[in-house]
Amino acid sequence: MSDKMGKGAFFRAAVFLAAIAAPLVIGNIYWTSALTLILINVLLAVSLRLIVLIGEFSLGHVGFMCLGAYTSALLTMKAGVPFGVGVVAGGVMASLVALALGYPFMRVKGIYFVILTVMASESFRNLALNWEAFTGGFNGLVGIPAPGTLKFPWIGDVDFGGFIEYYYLTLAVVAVSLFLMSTLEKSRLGFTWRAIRETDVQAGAVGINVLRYKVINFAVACFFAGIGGALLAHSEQTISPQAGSAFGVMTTMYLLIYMVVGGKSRFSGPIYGAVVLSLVMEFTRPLQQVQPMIIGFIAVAVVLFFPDGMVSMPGILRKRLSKTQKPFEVKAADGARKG
Amino acid sequence: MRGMVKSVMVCSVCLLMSGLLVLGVSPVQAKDKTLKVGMIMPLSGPISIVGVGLTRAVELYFDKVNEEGGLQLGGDTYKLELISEDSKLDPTAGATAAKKLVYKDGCRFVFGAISPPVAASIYQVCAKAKALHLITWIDAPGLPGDVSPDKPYAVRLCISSDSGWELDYALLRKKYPDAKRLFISAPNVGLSLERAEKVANENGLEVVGHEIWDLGTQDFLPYYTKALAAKPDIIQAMCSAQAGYQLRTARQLGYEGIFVSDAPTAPALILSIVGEEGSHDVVSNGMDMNHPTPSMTECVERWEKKFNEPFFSDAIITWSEAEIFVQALKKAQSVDPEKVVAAFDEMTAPGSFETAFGPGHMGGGKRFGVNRVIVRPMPISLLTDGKIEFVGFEMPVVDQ
Amino acid sequence: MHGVVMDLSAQMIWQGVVNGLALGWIYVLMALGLTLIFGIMHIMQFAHGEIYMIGAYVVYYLCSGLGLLLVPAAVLAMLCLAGFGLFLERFLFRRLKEDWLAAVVAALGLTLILQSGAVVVFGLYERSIPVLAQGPLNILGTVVPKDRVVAVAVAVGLSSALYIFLKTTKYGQAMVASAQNPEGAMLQGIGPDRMAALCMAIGFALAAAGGTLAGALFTISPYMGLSPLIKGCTIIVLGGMGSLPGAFIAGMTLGLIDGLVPILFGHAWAAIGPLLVVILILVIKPQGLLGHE
Repeated sequence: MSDKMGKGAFFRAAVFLAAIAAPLVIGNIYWTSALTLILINVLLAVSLRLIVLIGEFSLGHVGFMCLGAYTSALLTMKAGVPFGVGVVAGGVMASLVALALGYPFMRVKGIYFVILTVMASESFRNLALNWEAFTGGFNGLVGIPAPGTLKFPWIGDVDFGGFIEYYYLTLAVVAVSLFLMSTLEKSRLGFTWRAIRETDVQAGAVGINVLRYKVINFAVACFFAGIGGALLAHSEQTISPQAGSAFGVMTTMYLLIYMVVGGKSRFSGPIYGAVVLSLVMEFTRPLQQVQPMIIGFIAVAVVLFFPDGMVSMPGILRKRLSKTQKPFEVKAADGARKG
Repeated sequence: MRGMVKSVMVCSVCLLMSGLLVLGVSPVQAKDKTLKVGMIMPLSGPISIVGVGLTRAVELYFDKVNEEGGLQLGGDTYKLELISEDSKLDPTAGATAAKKLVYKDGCRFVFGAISPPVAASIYQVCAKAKALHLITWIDAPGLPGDVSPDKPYAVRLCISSDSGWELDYALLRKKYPDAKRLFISAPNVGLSLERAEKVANENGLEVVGHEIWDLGTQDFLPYYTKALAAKPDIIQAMCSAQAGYQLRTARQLGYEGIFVSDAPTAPALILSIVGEEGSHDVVSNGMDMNHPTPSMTECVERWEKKFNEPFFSDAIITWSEAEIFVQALKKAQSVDPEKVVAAFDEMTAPGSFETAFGPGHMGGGKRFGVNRVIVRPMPISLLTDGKIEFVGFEMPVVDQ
Repeated sequence: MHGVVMDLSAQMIWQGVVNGLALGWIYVLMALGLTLIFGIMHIMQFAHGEIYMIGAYVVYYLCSGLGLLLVPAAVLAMLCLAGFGLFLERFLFRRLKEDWLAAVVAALGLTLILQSGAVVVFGLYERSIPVLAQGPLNILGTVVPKDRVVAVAVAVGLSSALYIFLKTTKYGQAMVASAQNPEGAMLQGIGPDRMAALCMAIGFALAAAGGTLAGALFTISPYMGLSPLIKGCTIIVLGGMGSLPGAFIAGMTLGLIDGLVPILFGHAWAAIGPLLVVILILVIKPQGLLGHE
């Protein structure tokens, strides 16, 4: 076990170093900004998976992105709030709304909940679209300020509005968020969440206020969705609530696909899914009209043949190559499957 | 058997990935002196037909220039290359596309877009990179994506459909002197209904009501129900590529009055949607392709040769934009965006440009503070008794 | 920006009601299919909107390419899509019976494939199929476009046919029983796979019919499926999953809202109104109007 963890930590460190080195190695402004967007996708996909831990899933993540984006954008544009505060405020706003909606929404199960989340997210988007006085309505917001300049002890002034600087800023925020989410998942809170997924009724019987934990989970996941939205707003410096925009239903579909294709059973799953599929989308730019089809085929293929996602592929390959069959699976002591 | 399928899947996925990697990172072949021009249009989504059509027209014009030997600028010969990207009607995607065009492909001129917020976000990227943004369409002047004195890298090469109002209302006055009650149906894009009312009043028309509908509306019945309740003589569908559907709805509700469409949507398209019986008393600012100018004819011919689809007549707008762009390049004798903007600023005398619609020049100084908007003739057509009648071209008033 | 206030005459409201009911029937066709599929297979067929769209395109090609009349073309399209439903059930959804998240993702992937496939195969041009009828009709003093009336008639006919099928045939009764209680169907001697195949076929045929009607009333485009899908999902959640009468009532309700809200409150509320109403109802009664746990 510890040997595996050792290998895992080494692997993670290597990935992190690669992420730091990437923009410098590739040295192209466009790719730096593309990587920034990929990082944001990673954050969104991983936070989406958080909800899967309690056995639900949400198709309304973009709605909370929208809340976070608009909150941060409006605060920084109209009230002169500094970037860092704005982003956090975006996350907080999203999670507050999630808390408020969570109580009624979480009373319903499964597919009802999913559809409620879709409707909620469409409501937010339509609200942004029609509340012209406040949100700029159809035209959206343009000219969202980039983060300002910070004085560092011996590096001097760093203008985080620049492409590379913003990439590192995003990397830092995403890394911290991933760390937080991963810690939460391994904590007692995470354990309770997984217990709720495995057996809703029994968890309640043991005296856990199931509803409260579900709502907390939803609020946490949406907090990070809000942060993601805010990061997006400041990266592209423009947001719009139109139906085809980043806050529309299609984005939420793509996020779900990233997560499931990557693998919902492991924390690193959505990271792989988001990175690989975002790269696929990027490289298939010339094939514009067929682009969704490619993602669609990947989604269907993965779901049919690799139900546990990309993270399970190495394991399956290894099994195929080794050609030995285990007589039966060994389950861990606490009855829950590892992962 | 199942395991083998899995292996095949894994192998094909790996092959796909490597193929994509090769496709993606293959370096752009450097030709001698190519001028790369980017274009960002909605190539997917509900109005992709417009986006694709407008992109194709520019492509066709560039083909023409290249066939004629390229552009001679400042001693060098340039071939024109158009790189098109999908805006997905989303400013965020538009910004990403602009970044790719400007930073990865090295374009210093970018056409785009259809939706004003997308245009605004493209401008942000262009300005930062000191590339020239050629505004391809604007729903209403003065919106965030439009030209302004503090935007040194924006030039608008199209006329907004609201410039047709003076022409259309004056025509109505002449042709239907008894029609006084005007009802306006407008999309929710920030059009200035106050200005419409002012111009209407100047022409003796009274605006008896208006209805705003959201983009993406397919069912106009509720809006036209309210419209007809106001008993108008004239209904105007503003800035709508769905003017045909709007008219059809009106006719189905029993409306037999006058209908005005100020969008560049072709009267032929309206006719095909409404049918002969309902196509009467219609005024349209679209082009009647039975009376094309020689330049338009060339555009249609090239389109039909290169693409296996019927001609989409909105495309002549960007064909003429490409004409204007090339003429400005020639005047500047340079591919430096700042010199090209300076050239535009100089071409304000009438007749400075030859466009498919007729002679044009840069204007808009009074309204915007800078002469960075093209002023060129607008077509007016009528639909009478199920037939298209071409009235002619008229110069719109861009400076109001 | 608000429309100029006019005499909101009773006539206008009545017109809104009539139009709303007409729209509602088309939504109901979508919703019936979705609720059948959900009730029996327990999966959310998110690609239903694309089936609706493809149905319309098949009719277009049959009419314009082969010169068929609208009615036979529509019937053929329904059969075609029903067959497609059987195919998908057998090769895609049957494998994903256990994992409903996987089924959702598969449906989403299918949506992407079908939608971009439609763009590639059919092209971007909006097409028209022959109209259902021309001109206005005067019903009790209100002017209603004739084609809406025809659309309602067709939708009513199909729904009634479905109703009869469910009430009187062995398969139909088994389907109803299965929606309530999966074991019930097996007692009738019909395997769950057969049931799933049948309900997919029926659901797809209904969606194709809905797409044809909408295509005849409005226009056909590769992107026409997304909005009806969301409406359909909203309806079945509102009416209660697996409840057919619930789908009907909710469909009419939503149609009425869509018909009246733009007239009474303008476009701003037209989009958000239905969403808020539905969320409110669900918060009060989480199983939907006629649903059960």
